[in-house]
Amino acid sequence: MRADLKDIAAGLLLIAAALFFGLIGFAQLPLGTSFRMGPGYFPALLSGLLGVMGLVIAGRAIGASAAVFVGRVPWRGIVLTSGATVGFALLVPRYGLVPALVVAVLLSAFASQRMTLMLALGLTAGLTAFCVLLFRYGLGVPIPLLGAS
Amino acid sequence: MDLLGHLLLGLQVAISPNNLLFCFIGALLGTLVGVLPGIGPAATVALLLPITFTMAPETSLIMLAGIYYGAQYGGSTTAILINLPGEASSAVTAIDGYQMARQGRAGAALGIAAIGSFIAGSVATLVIAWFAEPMTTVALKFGPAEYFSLILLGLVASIALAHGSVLKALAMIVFGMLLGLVGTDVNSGQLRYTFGVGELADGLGIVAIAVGVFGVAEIFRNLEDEQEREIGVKTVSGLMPSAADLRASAAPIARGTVIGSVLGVLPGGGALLASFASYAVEKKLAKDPSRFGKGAIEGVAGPESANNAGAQTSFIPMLTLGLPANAVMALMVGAMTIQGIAPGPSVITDKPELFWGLIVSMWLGNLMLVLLNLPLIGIWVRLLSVPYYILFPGIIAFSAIGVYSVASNVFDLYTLAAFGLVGYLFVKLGFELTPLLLGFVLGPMMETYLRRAMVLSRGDPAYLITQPLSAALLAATAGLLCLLLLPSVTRKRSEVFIEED
Repeated sequence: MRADLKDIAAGLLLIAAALFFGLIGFAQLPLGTSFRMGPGYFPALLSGLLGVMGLVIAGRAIGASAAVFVGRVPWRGIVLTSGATVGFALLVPRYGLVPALVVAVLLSAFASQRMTLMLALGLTAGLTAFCVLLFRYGLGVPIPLLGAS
Repeated sequence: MDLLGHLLLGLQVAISPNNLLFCFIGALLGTLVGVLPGIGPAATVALLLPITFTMAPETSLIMLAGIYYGAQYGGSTTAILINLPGEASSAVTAIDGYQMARQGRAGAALGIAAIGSFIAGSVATLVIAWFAEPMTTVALKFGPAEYFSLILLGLVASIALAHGSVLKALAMIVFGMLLGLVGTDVNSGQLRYTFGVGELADGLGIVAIAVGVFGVAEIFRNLEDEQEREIGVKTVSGLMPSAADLRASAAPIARGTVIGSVLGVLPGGGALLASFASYAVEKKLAKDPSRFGKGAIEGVAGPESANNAGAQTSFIPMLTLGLPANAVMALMVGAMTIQGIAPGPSVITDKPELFWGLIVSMWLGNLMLVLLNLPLIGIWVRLLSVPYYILFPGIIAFSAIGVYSVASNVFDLYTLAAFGLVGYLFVKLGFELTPLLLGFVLGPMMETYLRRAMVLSRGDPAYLITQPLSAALLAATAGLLCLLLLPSVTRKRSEVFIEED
């Protein structure tokens, strides 16, 4: 049977989100009445709507001609770039702005396949210096350069 | 106070050295990100939000608006020089502008684009000043039911120009609204969807979400296919269009200005629609339509004027009703809220200096763009050749510092990383991300208005359609939805957007 896998995945993703918000809301948040709407009323309305939309999108995809599913995914770039942000998050409160920036820029530099080691080192030094000057001294962002905040 | 008095008040505010400086910085930064690949005005505005928290509200909005229209200028530059529209609305400019550049007339194309944009921007500024008061007078009569319906209409209208599936765009709005509900419920004080994470009590950070979906996810998208950008034009000379060029462009600029000013007011990013409409009109009116697509200067002058006029007048719904038409304006609404200003019709009466100062600054900013960008064009051309793999580590570093500086909160950084991934996943599955941000900003407002309306009606949902004004707005929403989901319109929309891609 033919099906548009991309739209089926899209629909399922929406249904999952709807179930997540709907079920947790149902378990934790009182609905109230339409007169006195409780904290759970609007979330229930929205997750219901989202679920229906997910069903329609996935339903219409069955029998539809298949689209290109996902195409290329730059896995290396995604891992390194996300790693850069997480690395920054782990380092900045304990060791300060400079070490966090060095790690983040080095990691994200290698997300591109065109990057060379020398260029990455130069870029790291240059960008770190630039960010320190701009944010710390130019804009006065209160993040210590070295050491815990 | 009359119109002149208002504009004078605005001029006083806009011309103060501080505001003038930030207007300039905004316009310059906007042009820069319009020219550079991989970072757009939405991500830039989001990144600069934390810096603006300490500024006066009018200064902050003046700078953020500068980024928005500066990016339109920068987008036209790349459209003409390398056939890559930096912004969706300059896609039409690329058709004839790039052909002109290939014929060695890049200077004339850039010049006429700048002149047309400036004229259109000036007229549109007057249109905003004209429209603002009557609009707000109407809006001040709105009760909660009318507001609920109006936001609904605005949200549906905003996706009329979204690419691809209408249903998917609607789903993104709803998902964004759900994300907007995370945090403390203002009515009951109950925590929603926080899972015991203390940082979530104030809700998800708008900066982290916006930078994640418009900055980080965009990097992933660019890494899919790493190509050098080819620059056909290395040097640009003769920026002043000839007398014949000016004669040929005068009428298209005038028509483009009118089309743009009218279409821009519609909620939902009128600038894009306006440039398409202007191009179609010019082609139809031309004595020799076959010249279009081969470097006709009318095909640059008209759409460029239209998109700039539209970009300006699209501030009307945001400023008078608090209804953002696109991601940048959603972020500006967020900026106002953080500054403690409730966006909506009361802004013009409570904060006239902010309202009129912003409007006059937009005119000044357009003037600065003409005076500065034409001489600086050599620098922009050189920036076009900066390879992407050098740029994006910088984007990541700026994003991390910008998001962390909001509240020195590590949790915001994890939100940033997560929304980069979520944004990319959604893009891969054919979803647009702008509706998500609009839903995120407007969702909590809708809940508040719905609650108030239901209290007024003692819980009767029919109240929304027994109030005549609210009923009219809901009818318009329903009509628009039917129109959008109609098969023939669906086909027409996909044609338009194929042309654009």
